[in-house]
Amino acid sequence: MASKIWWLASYPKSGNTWLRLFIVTVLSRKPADMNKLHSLGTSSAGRVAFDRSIGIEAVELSLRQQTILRPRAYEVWAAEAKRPLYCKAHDAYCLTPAGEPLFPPAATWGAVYVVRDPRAVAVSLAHHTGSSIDHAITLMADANAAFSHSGKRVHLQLKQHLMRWSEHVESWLSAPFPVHLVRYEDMKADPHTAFAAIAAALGLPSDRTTIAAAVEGTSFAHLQAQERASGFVEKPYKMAAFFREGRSDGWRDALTPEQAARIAATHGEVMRRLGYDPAPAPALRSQVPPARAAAASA
Amino acid sequence: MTYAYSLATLRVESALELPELTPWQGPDAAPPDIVFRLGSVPPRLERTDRVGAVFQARGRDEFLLTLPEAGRILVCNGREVTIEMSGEADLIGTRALLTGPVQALLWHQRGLLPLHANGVVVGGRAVLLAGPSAAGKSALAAVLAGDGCEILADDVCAVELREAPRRAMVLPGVTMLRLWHDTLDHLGISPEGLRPVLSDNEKFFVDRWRRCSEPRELAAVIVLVRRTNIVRGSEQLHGPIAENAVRRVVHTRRPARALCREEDAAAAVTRMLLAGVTVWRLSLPDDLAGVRDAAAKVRSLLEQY
Repeated sequence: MASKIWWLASYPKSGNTWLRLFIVTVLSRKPADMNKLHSLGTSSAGRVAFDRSIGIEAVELSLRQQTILRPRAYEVWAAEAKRPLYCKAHDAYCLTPAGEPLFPPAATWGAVYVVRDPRAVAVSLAHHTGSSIDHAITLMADANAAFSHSGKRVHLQLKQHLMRWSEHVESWLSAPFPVHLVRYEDMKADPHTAFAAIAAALGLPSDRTTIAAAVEGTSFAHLQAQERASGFVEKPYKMAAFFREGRSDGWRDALTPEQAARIAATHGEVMRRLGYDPAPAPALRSQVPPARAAAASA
Repeated sequence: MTYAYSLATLRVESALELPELTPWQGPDAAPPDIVFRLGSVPPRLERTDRVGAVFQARGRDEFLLTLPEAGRILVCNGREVTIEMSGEADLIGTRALLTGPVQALLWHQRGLLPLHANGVVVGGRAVLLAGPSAAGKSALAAVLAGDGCEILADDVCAVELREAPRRAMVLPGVTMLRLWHDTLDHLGISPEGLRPVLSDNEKFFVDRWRRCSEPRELAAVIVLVRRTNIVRGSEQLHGPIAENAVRRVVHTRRPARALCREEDAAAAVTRMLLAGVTVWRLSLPDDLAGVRDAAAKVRSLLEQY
């Protein structure tokens, strides 16, 4: 019996893992095992899932061919699914080189799009990629930004087309299917309300008891403890811990005024639309310790 | 002009030069077992039994592959491969298809068992390092080859089941390893002058180790699992778990199913295990430094058995 796909979409480091853990907890009615998130549906960029559904391995194809064929893979997933799939997506909602949507509307139920203040994304992205904050800010302003695109090694994920951070947001919000927008900061401030709305949008149980249990089961402290105990398979190899800080305003201590201004200058319009004040905040650092300044300019 | 090569001890006659294959060393007059020709390929088969995202199949012996920016390839009867390259196709990409997925299709059609694995010879017997792409097969094979093991095949291994006595034999395949730039760096090999596998990445053919050109009896299949950060070490698999682990590395299951060859492959796996082949699972970290440890592990596993 065929079904379709719910895309769990976000720019990287915006709360996607938390969202998936919440959904798997609601569906299974027990605390999520963070190393079994694939039970929801595979990542949209998963290499092995692409290979299996297309029948030809991505390594035998050029990057252009891989991207052109990704919609075919999703059609196969949807056609062979026995229940709705919930698949992580970090690509922007973009067109393939063949001119069709990367995420085919005919195979799609809709999307939940998690957005996070780009200043917080920059800090988290720098930790995730092991690079400087300045590098992360540059990546977020690059129209050709991509993950897993180095031609020097094979990646477990296919190339993901991120575009600029603000383009990423706009692309998903204008997708031709229902998109439920949720801010990471709202998930942190009032998880019960934010997650109840997500569950309702996905047609999942959204009663008070179910949501309260899922919020408790996916609390940051709970996830950190689980990662310490059993590891997290999605953590980049060289990253110390995936569930690192979990604050929504940690960027205020980490960014210099100049870095915050760079982000605001590039993404200010979209930030305002989403309720993120691009003006410098009073708590922003005015001075940077020498060690951090050196790292930032590295 | 045609070129003659040896693949799985068969004579391959090709209209395209395929430098990654071993030149045919047998008698010139030997008739070809497999022919690669350039020609017109219909956009669809006249009567199609099964359709995939990029292929159509009719019966057990006709398989039409259609790929964007490449063209169409028709694989028939385990003998004839007709290639119609589209305007955007490049020769390098076409070669990769012929020696990769098309090779596996030919083995299915010829009743051989194609496994997604690198074959190396350790102590005179074949060991297959198996797993999906990105599992680390070729890098591990390169480290073992650097330690003196011979290379039997890269990425696609044809296994032939023989009776009286029951044995599983690995036939020699493409003996050049395809290695990524980062792996070459790690091994201290310069990519300078190496031939690329595809036009848009930095993966290269490397031909510097001893190669084995004769079939070798298969001793073990080591299924590699590449984890990003959770390393579970190694374990021997038995019974149905071992069978399932090997079935998952049949190259490639969806096309095999389309050709109604999946059950044949599963039965071949069962016979392979009955022939005494042992199966192991070895997890690798997402780090090249771990490959040397894994190579040592492979050696120690084989010494125990």
